[in-house]
Amino acid sequence: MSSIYLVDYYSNTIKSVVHQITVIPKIIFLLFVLFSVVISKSLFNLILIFFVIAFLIVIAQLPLLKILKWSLYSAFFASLFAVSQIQYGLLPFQTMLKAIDAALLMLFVVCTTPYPALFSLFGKISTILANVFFMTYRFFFLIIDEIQTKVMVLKIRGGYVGGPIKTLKNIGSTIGRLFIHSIERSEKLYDIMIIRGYRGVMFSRTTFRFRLFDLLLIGFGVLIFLIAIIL
Amino acid sequence: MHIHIPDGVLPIWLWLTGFLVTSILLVIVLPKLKKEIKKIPMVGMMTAVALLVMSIPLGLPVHLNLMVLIGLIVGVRWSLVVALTVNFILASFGHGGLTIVGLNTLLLWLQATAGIFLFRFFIKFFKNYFASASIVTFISLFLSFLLLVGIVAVSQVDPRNFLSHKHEHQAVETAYHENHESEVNTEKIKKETEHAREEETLAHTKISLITFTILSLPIFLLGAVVESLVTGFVVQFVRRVKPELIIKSLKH
Amino acid sequence: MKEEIIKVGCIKHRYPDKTEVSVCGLEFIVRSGEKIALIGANGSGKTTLLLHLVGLLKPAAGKVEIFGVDPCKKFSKIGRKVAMVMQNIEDQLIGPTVFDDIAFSLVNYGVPRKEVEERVGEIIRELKIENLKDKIVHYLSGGEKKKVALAGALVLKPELLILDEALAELDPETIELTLKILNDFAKRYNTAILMATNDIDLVPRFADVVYLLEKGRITFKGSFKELSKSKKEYKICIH
Repeated sequence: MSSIYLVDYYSNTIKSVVHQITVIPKIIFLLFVLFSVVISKSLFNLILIFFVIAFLIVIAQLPLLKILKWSLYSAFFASLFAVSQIQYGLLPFQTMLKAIDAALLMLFVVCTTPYPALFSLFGKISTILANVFFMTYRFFFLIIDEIQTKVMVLKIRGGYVGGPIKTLKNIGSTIGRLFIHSIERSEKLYDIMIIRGYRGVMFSRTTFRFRLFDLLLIGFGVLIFLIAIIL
Repeated sequence: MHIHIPDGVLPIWLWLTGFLVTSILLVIVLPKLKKEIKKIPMVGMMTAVALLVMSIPLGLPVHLNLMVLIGLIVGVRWSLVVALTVNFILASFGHGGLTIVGLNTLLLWLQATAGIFLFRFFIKFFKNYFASASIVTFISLFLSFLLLVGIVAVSQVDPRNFLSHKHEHQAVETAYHENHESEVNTEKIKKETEHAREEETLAHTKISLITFTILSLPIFLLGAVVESLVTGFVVQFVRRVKPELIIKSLKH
Repeated sequence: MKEEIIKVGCIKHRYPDKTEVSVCGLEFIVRSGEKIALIGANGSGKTTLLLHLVGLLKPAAGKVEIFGVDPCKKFSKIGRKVAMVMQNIEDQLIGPTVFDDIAFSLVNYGVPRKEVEERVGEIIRELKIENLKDKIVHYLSGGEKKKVALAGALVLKPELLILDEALAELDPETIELTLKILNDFAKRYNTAILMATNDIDLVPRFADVVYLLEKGRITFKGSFKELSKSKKEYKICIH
């Protein structure tokens, strides 16, 4: 998925002030703001949150338009709910804005925090979950080229031009091949991991610290939350 | 395929219940999975494949997630972990809300679990892998869609809950005062006010639920038909090239 | 006489597609602290032999012994003594960041966190890859990945280090540095190093003993000087 690829790229290559903030303060900020979005009953508040996150995205040197475009994906599904509330004044707008705000917030956090740091938090809950998250992450980037090549080959060889059923059959065969190859590769990877001593432990070293900007971000989150309660 | 519920649509108690149920299931399942660490790389790989498969262009406004197929390969317990991982990663870039990860995990897990059990049953009668896999996938997706509609119904998406609680409270309070003035016993008052509140809420839920279902149904049908056919073709292909994978799944 | 840590008799392997590969001829023995170069053209059976040593392949016939045990059955008993750098480096790197990957084996063997930090720090300094420490693995270049994989193997301070084309595609400067580290490592920790390679130029700078594999047969065992004198075998090797 190209957006995962880019999100990963942004979080690992951009060196803004926001990127330097460690994962825990970002999660605390995320929870405060997300909760503010969820409980918010004021359209004004939701618009305010939208601009605050957009501002933070700019500060983080991220491409605002691209991230806004991604956040609109959530608006598509939110519209199913919004349309069913169309007779209730501003409510549909609130529903849409809540979805966009929340998506924008998530994107802001993942575009400024490398996935390993985020996933390391799962290690505190369950080693199995942490293992699966880390391996999914690593394997995603191992096979992304393969699937892109397969889709390209499918297109070049006329896989999309023989009518809908033929197209789906071609896609099915491509995915089938991908499944088989991936399973065989995962078996091979397991063997290699065993040679490297694998006994069910996967971890990522994460920095936990609270410096000025870390505290500022938390403070910002608390402020937004307080405004949401007041409004 | 599944319809992503965004943040802020469902009431807090409902999505918290989603997290609670998912957590309980994880507490039951995870200790058992500790004995199966050999499967972890395959589960990680399948989750990665699921995320990647979503990016395959279909020329339609829907994407695949192939949970039924993944369920057949990894089994019931690991499907829960795959569903959680996929949903968390999807939510992390705005596909479905973070607060809804619990509920969405249950929706995807239902697809996988129903698919596994139905496939074992269907293959005995049909003996045709394409037909069995396609029908089973469609039924599993439909069950998951019913659960989604059920969630929306339970959520009592009453717009007034979103706009302001004042109106409803006023109605309830008025009913209370009227009853109080006529000096009826307290229990009766409570029952009546609750009934009034329920009726009001249900009336609004019904409206939004019908609209929501009518809007979602075409998207669901389109996605479900595509996913069912693709799953059928994948299973048919795998059965031809590496049959032991599918046979293994029948023995889980 | 140094301890024999690898002993391989004539082995035969049958792949699922029914292809048979055998490694026979002279007996293959590696002693502790020895630096061995296993040379031969592509398809001569080098990788097949190495995969048997770590128990990834089970011989259909013949015997493999490492530290006195059959690696196919009891690799977990000797796992801590053995490290390997694979030909396909992509599949070897598991950890999300460079630090995590180098620490992978240590963490799984239950080495205390503080010691893990120290040992990883030490090895990345030796290999001069401090700048990569917090990088995500999939953003590394091919050469950087090789260095990280090597670091992940060396950090274990193994008694036997197996390298399958580990220096291929590295720049001359890095090859020089790596050879220096490997030679030093073998001396310091009495580590036996077995390197399979196509690159004949590496051999005199590294190996005490050379094994030549030709179409599944070990046709030569001796020093590089002896190999150089044996013109016929030397020619086969460089082709």
